[in-house]
Amino acid sequence: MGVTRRLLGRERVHQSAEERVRVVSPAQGGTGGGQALLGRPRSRRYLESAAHLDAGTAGKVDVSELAATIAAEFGAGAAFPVGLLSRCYLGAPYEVHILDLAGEIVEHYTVGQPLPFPYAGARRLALHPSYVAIEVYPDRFVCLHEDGTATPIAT
Amino acid sequence: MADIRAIDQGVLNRIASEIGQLNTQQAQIGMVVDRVQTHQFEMDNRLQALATQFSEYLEADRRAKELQLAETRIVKVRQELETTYGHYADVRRRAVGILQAIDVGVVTHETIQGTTEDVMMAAPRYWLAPALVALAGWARDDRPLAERALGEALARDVDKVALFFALVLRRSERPDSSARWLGHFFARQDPTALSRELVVLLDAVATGAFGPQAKAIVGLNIQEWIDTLTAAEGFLPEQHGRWREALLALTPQVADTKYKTLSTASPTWGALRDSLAAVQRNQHVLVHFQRIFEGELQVPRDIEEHIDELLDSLVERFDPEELPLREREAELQAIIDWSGDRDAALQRFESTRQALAEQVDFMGLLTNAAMHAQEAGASRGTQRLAVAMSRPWIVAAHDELVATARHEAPASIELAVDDWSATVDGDSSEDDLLADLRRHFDASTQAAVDAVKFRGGPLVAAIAAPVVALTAIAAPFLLVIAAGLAAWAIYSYTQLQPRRAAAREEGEKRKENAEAWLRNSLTEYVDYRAEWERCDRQAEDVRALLTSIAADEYALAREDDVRTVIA
Repeated sequence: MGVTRRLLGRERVHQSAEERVRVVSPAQGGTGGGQALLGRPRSRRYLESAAHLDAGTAGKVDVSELAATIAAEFGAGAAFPVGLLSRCYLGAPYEVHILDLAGEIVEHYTVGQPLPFPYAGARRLALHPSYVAIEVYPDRFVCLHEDGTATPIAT
Repeated sequence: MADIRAIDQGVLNRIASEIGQLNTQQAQIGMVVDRVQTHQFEMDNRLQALATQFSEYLEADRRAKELQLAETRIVKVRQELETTYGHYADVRRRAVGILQAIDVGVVTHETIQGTTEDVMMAAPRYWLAPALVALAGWARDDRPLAERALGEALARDVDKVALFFALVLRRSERPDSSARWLGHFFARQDPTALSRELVVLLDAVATGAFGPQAKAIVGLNIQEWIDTLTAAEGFLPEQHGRWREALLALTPQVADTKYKTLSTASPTWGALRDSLAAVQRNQHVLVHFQRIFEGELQVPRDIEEHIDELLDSLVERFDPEELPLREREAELQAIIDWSGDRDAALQRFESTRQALAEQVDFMGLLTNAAMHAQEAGASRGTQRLAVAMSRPWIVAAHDELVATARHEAPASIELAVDDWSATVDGDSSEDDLLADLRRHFDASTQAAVDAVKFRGGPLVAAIAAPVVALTAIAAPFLLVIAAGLAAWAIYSYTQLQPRRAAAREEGEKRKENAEAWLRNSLTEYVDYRAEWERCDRQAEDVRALLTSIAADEYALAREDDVRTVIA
């Protein structure tokens, strides 16, 4: 596992990949409702939160605001991502980090370190300079551009 | 005893003879097995190359037959078009001529009447013929004839006749009458099932041929269509899919000859080729849209000329009843253009067919105008308008194709030569791969050298020679046999070193070839990745170009125009 930073100050409960996926209810994600909304543009505030999960300021991330921003961005009935994957700016050897929305933790991964399911397939997209971050859903990725455009692709 | 000794000697002689024969045969078999072992990999390679060549031959043969068939069939289709609809072309040629003749007034009414009546007789069922008769009647104030002819023309094709007279009357500076026909035409349109003529009208309105008043009315109408269509369930996925297909049709073919070594020796070449084609599409998409927006629009010298062009466009385009044959012609032409590659041709044709379809919804019409302007009959101005109106969906489809291409790009490739294979990715080192390959071939060579041993027939001969020599006390001639066996054993022993040297030499040769092949493969892979990344970067150029298009600049209904109309 990668370096784990606890954001809410409580012990992280170990979850398997399957459990992480399961916390997303059918109404929120997967092939459930709200798929049409996946491609709508994201707000500037949300993008900034997604792009600077670390910003080299470990422990200074306002989690409540981040959670509120994410919840507001998707709203009721919309598909809700399992987590976000983006480029890590902590510097070598770290390469990417995951914001696991189910466990409410940020995990940093080094170069070559394998990512858990379902994040693994999105690694190269997250490292591509065209994307700020990748929203990871059980059955698709949504690439977020700097201008807020969201591009869903099936996995 | 004497008898027994005699029998023993005969048996011994026979055994000795048979051992000699057996040894000879064993030696021959041993040599054959060695040769087989030595050439086994070579044979495998040749067989593989032969299978590839055979497969290529079959594919080339299939394409050649498809091409030949398409060339034969297209001639027949064109002949049928000429036979069945050739007289329509005659009517079309005369239409603009009659209009100009009426303008200039150098042709007598009788001649015009005669000509229009001729075409009426020559082209039954064709709307343009009675429309021309009505026009001629109107020109010489023969109201009853004009009305009868107009009634017949409207019965044949209301939309085209309405548009025809809207254009003719606008050309004759009768804006009120023209506007009535235009309104009539628009009132009949259903945005989910538009006739192809609407592109012509879009041309006219977008370039201001009907003036600001018509532009505003049409603009408002179109905005209403867009609002209605976008609110419909399933619109977004359909629109997205439409643009996805349109952009996919611009995907080029990547020739296998571009990366010769990779294409012949990498089992993953198919995925590499598809991935490269997907990113090369960016360049084609970029060029397509750059061409649409580069340079100034050519504004017609005067309004009459422009309307003549629109009339040309209206009357010279083929009619719906010609569509099945026109589609067949386009399909066969696509197969010819793709040198008999039917699958690729049909994929391209499917996109073109949408442009030829008899009825489309408004969004489909915009797609056709933007992507297949020639087939859809759209001018550069209409193309710009269509792209500007469809911009959000084009960008979304482009983004999705680009993200998919990036996601599906092979992260590593397989390289295989002889019985050595490796997985290569961006972090692989050429030195490490070469070292691994050398280790593999050195071990293989060593195994081949070690396999050359003093065994089989020669070994039996070496053991049998002294035994036979000892029995020679009783039968001296056995000494000759013993000497022969010993000579063969010695000869075989002396051949061991040359055979080992030959095996080593062949192993070294295979290693050298494999090293050269690996270096070529890696060089090509580096070039491939560089090209892939260069093409991938162009996706951002496409995005920048599309997002820089100011939709307002090409909008039909500007606020000023709308205010003018409302006032």
